[in-house]
Amino acid sequence: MDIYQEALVAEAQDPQNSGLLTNPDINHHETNASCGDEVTVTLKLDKNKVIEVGWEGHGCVVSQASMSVLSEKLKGATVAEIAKWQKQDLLPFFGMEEISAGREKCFMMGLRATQKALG
Amino acid sequence: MYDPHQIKKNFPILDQEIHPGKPLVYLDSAATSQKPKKVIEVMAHYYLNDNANVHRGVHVLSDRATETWEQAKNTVAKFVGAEKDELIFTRNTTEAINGIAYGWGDHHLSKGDIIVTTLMEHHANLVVWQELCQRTGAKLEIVGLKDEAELDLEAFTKAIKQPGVKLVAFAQVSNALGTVNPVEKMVSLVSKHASQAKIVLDAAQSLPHMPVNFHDLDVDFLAFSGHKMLGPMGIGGLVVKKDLLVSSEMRPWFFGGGMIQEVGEQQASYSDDLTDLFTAGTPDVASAIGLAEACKFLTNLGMENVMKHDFSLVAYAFKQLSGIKGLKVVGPRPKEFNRLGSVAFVHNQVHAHDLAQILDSEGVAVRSGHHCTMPLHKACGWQATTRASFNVYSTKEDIDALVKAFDKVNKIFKL
Repeated sequence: MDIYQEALVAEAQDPQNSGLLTNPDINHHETNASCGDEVTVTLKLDKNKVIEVGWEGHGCVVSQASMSVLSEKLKGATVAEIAKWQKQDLLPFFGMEEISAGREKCFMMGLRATQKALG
Repeated sequence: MYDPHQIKKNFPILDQEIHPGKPLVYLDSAATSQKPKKVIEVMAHYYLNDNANVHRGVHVLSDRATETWEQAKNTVAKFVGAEKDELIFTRNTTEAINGIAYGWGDHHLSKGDIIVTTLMEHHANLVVWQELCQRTGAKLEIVGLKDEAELDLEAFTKAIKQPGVKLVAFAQVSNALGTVNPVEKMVSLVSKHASQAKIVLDAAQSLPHMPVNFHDLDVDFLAFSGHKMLGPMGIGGLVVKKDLLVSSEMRPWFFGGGMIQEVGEQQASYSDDLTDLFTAGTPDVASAIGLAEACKFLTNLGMENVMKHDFSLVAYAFKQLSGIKGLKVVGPRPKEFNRLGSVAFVHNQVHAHDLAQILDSEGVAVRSGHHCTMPLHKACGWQATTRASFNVYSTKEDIDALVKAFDKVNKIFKL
């Protein structure tokens, strides 16, 4: 299946929650060693719930679109819920059932960064 | 007459559709080359007819295997312009360079010594030296580039003029930039300003594309991989000047069976046969035979012809790709064989991974990322590059297909 659908490219080109928060509770930077992609995630928490998200990243459309969709999904989620999320929780947003082995790291970079930040 | 279309017929893998209606256009030969049918056949023939362990048997099969392996070693050594005893089979270039570090570096370097290498090196010719410096206290000095393309020879000269330079390591052809380094000039500079230093040549990306002669180049060590030069994966070589082997300045770095003279409970003495001394354990006989066949294949084509063909592809690709809006080819502008093997590029709007994947959907196989040259990419400010690379079977039509596939990139990104 061709992953370069309009929805994915459009999401990456006009990402949601782009830009870092000024006074975040959590600020985490992550890089993907295999391709040099990078993302910084900032979060504001209320007890164990994410209430605000801001991020900045450089990378392929797969990593950027995935992070964009994730950033919206994070709002209102608890730390415990987020820790359990896997690629299956993000793939449906792009109408995909699977992602190729070669692109999984790109697709998962945002989620991995967020889980590490909260871990 | 060099005809890549005829040559291509020796590589059955290239004759396939990779997606429905999309024939494979393989432009990732710098990562690994495809193998001629004959190479695969001789390896199968060995396992089907001649397989036995070498050296330690008196039966007919063992004799046959030993003789075939020795012949293969001879053929490969001759191909790189070395004597048979000067060639040590390894798994690949990385293992060969590690061999220099463990078999020579650990015995001769100490605090105050300097290793000089360059910014364009593959991690194999960099990380090994970082580790060697950690172990011995030696210092690593990296020589930079001019115009993000060619080695800065002035800086190189300055670096090797320092007292204490013991090792100078560089690639003949850069895997990321395609740059062909002026090896003869660099060797003469080292012998003039740092005559005590040993020279390591990484020939992984040069042996597949140009004539290389170890003795003529007058370097101390030369490392290469079989799989990038039409041979199988899992075999490569380290070539070492004979006097370093005979004098035991270069020592074995693997120990065990096959390389010994006599073994007691607490100590052992080692073989005085140089081939045996550097062949600990059972060698990969089939791969050695496959690599020898690859050398014969290249010799039949003629390495001068191979080089001319490769350079014409590099020059053509550079010109065609430079015409694509938003695309910048990195590395030197092709001129008089200053560049071989590959063209890497960056797009001002599309990430390297996205480019590579969209090109793949059109059947065009290229590589994206840092190509094991992270310091180079960082210094040049490239997050990642996309690389198209060639071998003896590559054609101008392959490059045309690459250029045409950019229509899809433009469509998806609405450029």
